[in-house]
Amino acid sequence: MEEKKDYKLYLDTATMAGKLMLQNGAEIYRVEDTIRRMLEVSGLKTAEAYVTATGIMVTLDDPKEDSMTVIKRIPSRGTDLNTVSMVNDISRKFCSGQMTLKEAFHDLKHLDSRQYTELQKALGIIAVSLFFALVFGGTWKDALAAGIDGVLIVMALWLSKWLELNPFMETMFSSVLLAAGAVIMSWFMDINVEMVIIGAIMPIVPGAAFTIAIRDTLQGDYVAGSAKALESIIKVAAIVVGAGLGMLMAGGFRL
Amino acid sequence: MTVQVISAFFAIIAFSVVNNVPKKFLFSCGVEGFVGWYVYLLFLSDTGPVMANFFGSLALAIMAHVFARTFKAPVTVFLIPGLLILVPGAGLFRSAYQLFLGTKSMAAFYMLQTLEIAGMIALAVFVVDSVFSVINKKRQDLEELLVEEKKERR
Repeated sequence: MEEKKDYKLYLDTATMAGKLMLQNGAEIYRVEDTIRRMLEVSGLKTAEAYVTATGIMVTLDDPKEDSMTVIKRIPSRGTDLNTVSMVNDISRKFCSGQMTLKEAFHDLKHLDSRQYTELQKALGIIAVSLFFALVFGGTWKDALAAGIDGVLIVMALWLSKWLELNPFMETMFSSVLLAAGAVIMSWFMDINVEMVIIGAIMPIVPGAAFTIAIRDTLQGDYVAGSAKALESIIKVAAIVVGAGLGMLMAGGFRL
Repeated sequence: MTVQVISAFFAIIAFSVVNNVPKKFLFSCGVEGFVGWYVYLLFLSDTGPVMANFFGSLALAIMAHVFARTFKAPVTVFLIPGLLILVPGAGLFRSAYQLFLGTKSMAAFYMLQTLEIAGMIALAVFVVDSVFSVINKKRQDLEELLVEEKKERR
């Protein structure tokens, strides 16, 4: 009887590891691989993991045992690469026997990946805008204007979080603000509006979704790959419409 | 060019902070941005933006895999921040701008170029991923063979 409980813990631990990875920007095949490896440690004959972009299904089965299945729905997805890296470490240690099942479960349950404050992340967004204006060949003035646009993006993101806007509206709102901001700043400063905007949109460009879409598709996970590709296309559409709208509102097309 | 490449280093570090990359990997991600943009600029004048993006992504993806092997971390941790530097944001904006101006032919031109660039980045990541998975498999096979040989000798 006690052994059976043990198997349930195996299942819970593996599913939790998978959930944490999937939520934070790991590819499907890596999530499936991690779950399968962790379940294989239990020594049971069948360990199957089926992962999609929005859910995890795991089964553990053996001729001697009743089969057990767990289904987990993944409601929200973001990018937190520290979590991915930490879960990977835990699973590596667990599979090589350096960590017991209970330790692994405890560590996963109390995983704390926070290492930067909200302020540091906001400064990060501003710095991304600022430096990308320089990367694309802008002048120091362009970079400064892009940095101010970065502040606008941070404010837009905070406001959308408060209003609980969906990702499309959130991206479009930021895009409208930064485009309008760039045009308005060009009235007072000698800046290249195009350079400022292409630098400033970089923090909201769906680079992570794009990268994961590529790698999922390569592994043959076409459903997850196309879901991610669609996510990046939707965000791109939001940026395009927002930038156009912002410039239109501020009168940028008379240039 | 110096300013651009150094800015690429800091831009990618800033983006890594936004995506919560582990602190010990921040510098490596910055180096990826630096090298990726350097390679891009190197090829830009000779081959045009599409092929330059291919070579830049190739360099980035190789570095991401090498870093992942050395630090024993998932490849994603290095690939997501690094590739941002080549994501075609400029092309997107230009096509949107032309679309709103009403010059549809220019908008189509920039949209097509953006799609080509995205395809090239994907191709580069495909190539490097495949090459490294082949290397991995061959190395595993070799290790298994060595273990078997040792057993037989005993």
